[in-house]
Amino acid sequence: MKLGSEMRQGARDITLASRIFLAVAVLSMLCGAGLLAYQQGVFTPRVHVLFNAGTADGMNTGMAVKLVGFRVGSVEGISVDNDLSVQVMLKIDAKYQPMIDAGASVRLTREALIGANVLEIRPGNGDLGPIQERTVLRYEREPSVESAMIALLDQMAPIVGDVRTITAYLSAPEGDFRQAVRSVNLTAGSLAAASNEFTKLIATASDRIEKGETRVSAVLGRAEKLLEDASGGVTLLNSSLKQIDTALPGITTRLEQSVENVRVTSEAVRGLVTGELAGIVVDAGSVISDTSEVVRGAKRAWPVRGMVQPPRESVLRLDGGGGLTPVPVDGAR
Amino acid sequence: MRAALMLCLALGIAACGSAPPQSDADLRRERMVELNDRARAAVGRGELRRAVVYYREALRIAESVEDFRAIGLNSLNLAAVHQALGELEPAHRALERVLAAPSRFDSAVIGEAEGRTSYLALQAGQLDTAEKWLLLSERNCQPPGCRRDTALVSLRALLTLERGAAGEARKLAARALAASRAQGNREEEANALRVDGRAAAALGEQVAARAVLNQALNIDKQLALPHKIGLDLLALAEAELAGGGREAASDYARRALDVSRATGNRQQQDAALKLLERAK
Repeated sequence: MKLGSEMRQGARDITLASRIFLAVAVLSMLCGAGLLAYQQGVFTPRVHVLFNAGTADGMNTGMAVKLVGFRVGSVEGISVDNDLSVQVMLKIDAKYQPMIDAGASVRLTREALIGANVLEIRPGNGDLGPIQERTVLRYEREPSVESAMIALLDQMAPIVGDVRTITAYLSAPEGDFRQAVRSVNLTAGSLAAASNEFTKLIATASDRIEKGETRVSAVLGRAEKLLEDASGGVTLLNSSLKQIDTALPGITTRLEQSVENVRVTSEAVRGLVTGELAGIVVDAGSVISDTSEVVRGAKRAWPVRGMVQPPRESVLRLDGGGGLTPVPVDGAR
Repeated sequence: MRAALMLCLALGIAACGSAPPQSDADLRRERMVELNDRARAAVGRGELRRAVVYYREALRIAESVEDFRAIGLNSLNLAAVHQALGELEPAHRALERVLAAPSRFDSAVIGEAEGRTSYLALQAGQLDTAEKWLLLSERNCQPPGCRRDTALVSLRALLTLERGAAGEARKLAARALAASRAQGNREEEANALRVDGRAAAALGEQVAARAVLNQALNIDKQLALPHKIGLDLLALAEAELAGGGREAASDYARRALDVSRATGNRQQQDAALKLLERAK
């Protein structure tokens, strides 16, 4: 009898203990769930704001809404109106309400080169006061890197065209420029020949002037003829230079256009490099760094830490053949 | 009930699995160890240029926090890799970090640096300088605490050989060979055999030289040590040339050139090209 009653008492104790354990477990679960819900912001008061966009491309329900890099809310819903405009509803944590004015705009942007799309709120001038429930904000789409590159290529195209035209113009055998240069060369050649002849004649004349005045007049006659030749050369040179003069304004205009295009393009390139590309590079660096952190953290976490050999320091010990023998640091002495 | 138990179990596992937080100092230290480990792996794969980059970065981090232990360690490693690449000047610069301020470093690190400097001087043909640093390194090495004694004997044998005392060099090489075999150190065994073979060739004992150098080559091939394979082939070419075997010498020199080109060792490439020229 006594044994039976002891066993019943024992069974009752076990039942009681298991119920207490169950109650504690359920309570812990509820607390955990409550804590999780609190962490997720279930109890956080929200403000709803709207904006209209031309397309819902790149947007989805639940995507982050950021203000100066902080997550301040998320996309609650996306709907399309009868006029095919897309209406996007955002829920913003109420604590950020005073920081966002009704004149703010929303921009669809990307967190990094390969990152997710986010909506970024850009503050306005503050004249309209803070946002209220169902305030409608302006929406603008950030130009993507692809479109910036296409714009850059569009700007480069006329430069390449101009360079090609100028090159063709300068190298055309029958073109004004080449003909002008050829004429200059010819004229310069004939001038040089005439000059040589003239120098010789003067030398001869001065030599012979003493020998007889009778021959002086003949010599001077030849000199006069040569001077006329030279004058013809100068006239030809003059006409060649006129040709160059005529051609130059066209070339100059084209060169100026090209220089202007280069200037505009280099501005665009500078903007791209100092703005978006720099951001992209920094973001890509951050992504790599974050990935490295995650991998490092995973390596240190159970159960992965048991599977991965931890890194060990080693020293390349002195070797009689100049070899590279790594030994763990403790064994290097 | 079962669901609750599963949840508790999952929470328990997640709690066990979470990585402990780390301080900035821990992160730096971990980064240095990781770089050192990566460099070691790169050396193992024969990617010496990559190893140089890793050791330099580890050294930079160590210098930024004045971690003298890590500075010493990574300076030695950097010098060793530069030496294996045949870049003597950068190797000297790396060792200078340690030798310029010996009071900051452990005596073992100083001893290693002195030994390495001696070897670099030997490679540069500065025998007196090599002798000076070797003496210092020997003084800093007291077995059993010092583990580089066999390497120092090999180095002494090499220096003696370079001074022209081939007979004495063979005796020292035999000592190094016995010590390395006693320790089971195959790399030092090959080093001792190489010095012995070169000394034998210098004494005109071509058959013995060829046999010993081939033994060294076999060990180095088994251990897959490209720098040493290059040295063995050069020594064999030299031995063959001394014995009048121009064709065999040319073949060994060509093989050494191929190996040194594959490893990017400029000094060995130059030596192989000179031997090819002499073997014509």
